[in-house]
Amino acid sequence: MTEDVSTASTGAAAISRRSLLRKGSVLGAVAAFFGVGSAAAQEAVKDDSALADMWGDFFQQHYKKMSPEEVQAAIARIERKAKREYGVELTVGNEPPLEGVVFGYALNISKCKGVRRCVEACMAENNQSRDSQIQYIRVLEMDYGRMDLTLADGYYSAEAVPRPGKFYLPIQCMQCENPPCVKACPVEATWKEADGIVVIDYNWCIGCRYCMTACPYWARHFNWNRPKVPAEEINTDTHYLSTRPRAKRVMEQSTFCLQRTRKGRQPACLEACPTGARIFGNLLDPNSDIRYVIENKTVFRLKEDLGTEPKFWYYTD
Amino acid sequence: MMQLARFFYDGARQVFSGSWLYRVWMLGLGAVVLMGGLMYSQQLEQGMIVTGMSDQVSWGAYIANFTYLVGVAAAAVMLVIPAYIFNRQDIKHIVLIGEGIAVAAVVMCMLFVTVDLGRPDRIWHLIPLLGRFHFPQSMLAWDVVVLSGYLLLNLTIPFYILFSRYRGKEPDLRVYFPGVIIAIAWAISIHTVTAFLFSSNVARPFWHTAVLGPRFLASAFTSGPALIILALQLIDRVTELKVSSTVIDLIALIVTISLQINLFLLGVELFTDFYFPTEHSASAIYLYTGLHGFNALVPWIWSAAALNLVAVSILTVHRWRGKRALLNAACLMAVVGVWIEKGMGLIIPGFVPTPIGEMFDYVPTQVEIGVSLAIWAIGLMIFTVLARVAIPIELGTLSYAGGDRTSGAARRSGARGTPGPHHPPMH
Amino acid sequence: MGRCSTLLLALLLGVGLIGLGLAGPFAESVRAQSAKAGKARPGAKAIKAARPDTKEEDDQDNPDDEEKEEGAAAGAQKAPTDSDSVLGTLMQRREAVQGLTRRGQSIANAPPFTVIEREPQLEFYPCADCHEDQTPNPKVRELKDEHTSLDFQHGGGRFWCYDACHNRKDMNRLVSLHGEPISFNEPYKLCGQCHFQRQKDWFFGGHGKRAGSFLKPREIPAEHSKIDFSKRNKIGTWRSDKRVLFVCTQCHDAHSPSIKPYQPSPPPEVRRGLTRHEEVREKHVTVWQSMEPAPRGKAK
Repeated sequence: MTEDVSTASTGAAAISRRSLLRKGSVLGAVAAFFGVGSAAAQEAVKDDSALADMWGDFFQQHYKKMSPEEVQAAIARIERKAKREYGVELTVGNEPPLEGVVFGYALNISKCKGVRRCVEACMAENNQSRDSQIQYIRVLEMDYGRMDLTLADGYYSAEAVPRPGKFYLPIQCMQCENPPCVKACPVEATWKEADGIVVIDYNWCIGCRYCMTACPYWARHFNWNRPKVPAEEINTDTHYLSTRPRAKRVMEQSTFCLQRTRKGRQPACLEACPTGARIFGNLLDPNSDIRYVIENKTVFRLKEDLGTEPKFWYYTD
Repeated sequence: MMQLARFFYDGARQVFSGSWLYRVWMLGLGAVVLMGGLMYSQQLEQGMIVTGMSDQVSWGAYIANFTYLVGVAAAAVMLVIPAYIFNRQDIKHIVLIGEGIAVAAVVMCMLFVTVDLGRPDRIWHLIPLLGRFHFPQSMLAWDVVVLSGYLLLNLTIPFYILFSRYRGKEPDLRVYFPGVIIAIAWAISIHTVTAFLFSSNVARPFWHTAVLGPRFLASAFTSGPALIILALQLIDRVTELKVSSTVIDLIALIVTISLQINLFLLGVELFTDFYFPTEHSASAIYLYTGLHGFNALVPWIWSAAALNLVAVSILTVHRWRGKRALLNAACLMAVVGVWIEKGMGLIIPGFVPTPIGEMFDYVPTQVEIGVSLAIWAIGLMIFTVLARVAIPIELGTLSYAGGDRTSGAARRSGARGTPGPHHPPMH
Repeated sequence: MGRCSTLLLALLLGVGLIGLGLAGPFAESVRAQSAKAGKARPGAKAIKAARPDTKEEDDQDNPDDEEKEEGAAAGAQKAPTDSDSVLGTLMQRREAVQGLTRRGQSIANAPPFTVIEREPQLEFYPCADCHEDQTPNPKVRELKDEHTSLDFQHGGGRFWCYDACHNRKDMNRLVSLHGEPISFNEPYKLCGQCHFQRQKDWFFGGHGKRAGSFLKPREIPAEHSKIDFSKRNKIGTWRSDKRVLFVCTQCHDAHSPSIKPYQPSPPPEVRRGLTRHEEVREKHVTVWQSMEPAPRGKAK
């Protein structure tokens, strides 16, 4: 079952870094106790060495507690780190939720043919770790006449889809209105934004994976090691709360591409879908595509009985 | 103040001296801890990718051990109640041992959770005010509260009692009795909260059952006291502290009834799952019979079932339970059986199949086993150290006035029991 | 029977004509009905949006003025004929069921949109370059010299070029059932004559795709290969006030409209360090597979 996963040790540099980090945790607790944590982080930012950035990261406060300047400093650290590690010029956005917008998604399962181009586009867009094989969307292949998830196949491969006698059900983060993951998190590292999108502060998550346990849609994924993306495949247009390079050993999940949608653009999965099965829009806008679908099609939501109020609707026509 | 310093000085002297057996024991444990520490550094270095956990089965051996040990910690209450509430002198005599086990178990729990964290360097995010403690919404936050509270209670009350004895004073019941009452309620709560940690997950039908809390308590009061029986006999053999057989008899009765209740509750669960299996029974089916060709846990759970059934048979028959060798065998079986049933047999199948129906087997890696063993070794070390200090004080051989007098007028009460296995089983 | 088909025709025409953007009397009537439903948007917007000369970029400068002009122009250009007004009267007496959404909106209330033009994308356009001097041949036959790649699956092969779609009088246009010319840029007016439910969905955003994809739908290769993500920043929007839509023929081959099979992208992998063993699953047997089929003739 388990293969050898030992990789070449990253050497003395990493070890000294680690021991520093351990010392850091003691010092950090003390410093933060006296309320100078963020000041120290600020101090560290003036120096843009890797070490200073590491300290800055360590003392970094919760996203919602940071002042705009602190957020900018944090973003600058992320950009410097990307430059150091990948040699790419990253743009880390920090767009707030749009006024009067709550995002919703709909998926026409009679149009979905199981092509998985959405998965591919998602991987290209969101800079997920290739080692951990994080894919936000899982497309399940099911037999006609039943919708039992435990009998579905998420690993189908074929010459051509749709295969006879099969239909397809893509599952991803449902951006629940009542998200169990948010309730479960012991440190408030994940929360629901005003536009209804559940986000994670990758710099605050402690990696306990309780949210993963709480999610009924298997939407949450963990970076099992230091996330790696080939430098040439990195999408440089990122957002602090979504696509920016992930910290090691923290959670992540789909944000409906908020780096795009908050600029009025469509999610990557929707754009890549060759059959037009995906519909996205503003639930507060009565003229939006999503409202039309909800109000004119017979829709259903996955595991609605759990009371999670997903904002992801399935429909057929 | 002087007394306090002397207390710690004498305690330390106790810890760093002893027979060759004691030294070998501690050195052996130290070696295990060192080995585990090296493996943990590997996990820190390379990431949790060195464990067998995956997005599919995201908790494994660490959380399984954690769950089991919360039960052990809570079980100390089964000595505290007869000792302080029913005023059983024979139990009062050894209740500190139970509390020592509780302390060791809680520390182990905390270590198991810590090694399971992806980012232990960010653990300060859990500290209220400094970080953002999501209380009371998150059950994990509750668990942090109850575990640290329980640790605090189990450190302060015995410390007060021991320190009083050390100074040659009789501890004042009025001082520590409220603490005892709180500790009793708290012990129930730590395991209830731990059960809620799992049963609060609507995503995991295998855990999402109201009977999980009672089951946790029943299994806790099985395996914890069973461990205590084994530990007491060992202490009786290797130290000056003598344990009355009436104590063993009482605890054996507690183990018996708890195991019976535990098996009854398990049966209730199995009936619900198997009478008319639904999609929610998939995990139970995977656990007991295997599902879609995935059956990693089947041998484990049937071993657990066999161990528990044999144990309950021995324990239920009075004549057999009275025989020390049989009792010890039954206790060992109950400890191992509950460890499987409540550890691997409860945590892992909760994840299989995943909420969207994927089947995936989990097998712990060497790193996980090594780190887990090391944490158990740390727990045993803590318990040994605590017992090593507490026993002479309890016996009156170690005091502020008298210094360290070897042996002496130990308060012998009751007959010595047949020696049990040499040390508590470790996993 | 005759009455029935007249009504159906009336319905179809009604829907088609609204799509054509005629500011005629029955468009007014539909608008009036949706106004009665209380939640209507000004119908004129859709009319303007669906005007024949739509451009990729929606000019939002002075919508009201422009609408009036357009409306007037359209009205002047395509004045309703007598038969139209007869049908219009029929329409007025009916509830315009097919045109309404559940919220009582008619297609005329659909949020405004522009479309990606098809004509520049067509391989042989303008058609008249070749067809100019030829007499259209209505005979159903195998095409041997030109258009040999066409696969006539549409409608199970019951249509021939000029039966329902191509305009034999003006080869550069399509034609409505009523004989009105339709631009290749606006095939939805043509298709919607039969596929009115799809057309309604499309007008409101429940069917089809918005422009601005990594690739245009039919350009996504059927074989699995890397999608070209370099265009990922030149993309469309989810906003309902700035809709740029792909028209029907962008995704559907008009001659063989069903979406062709694709090779799926590769299945997911488990994380590095783990392997997953194959699931052993019994083949799902349905109730009808597990029992004898009903004897012919007896099954009710």
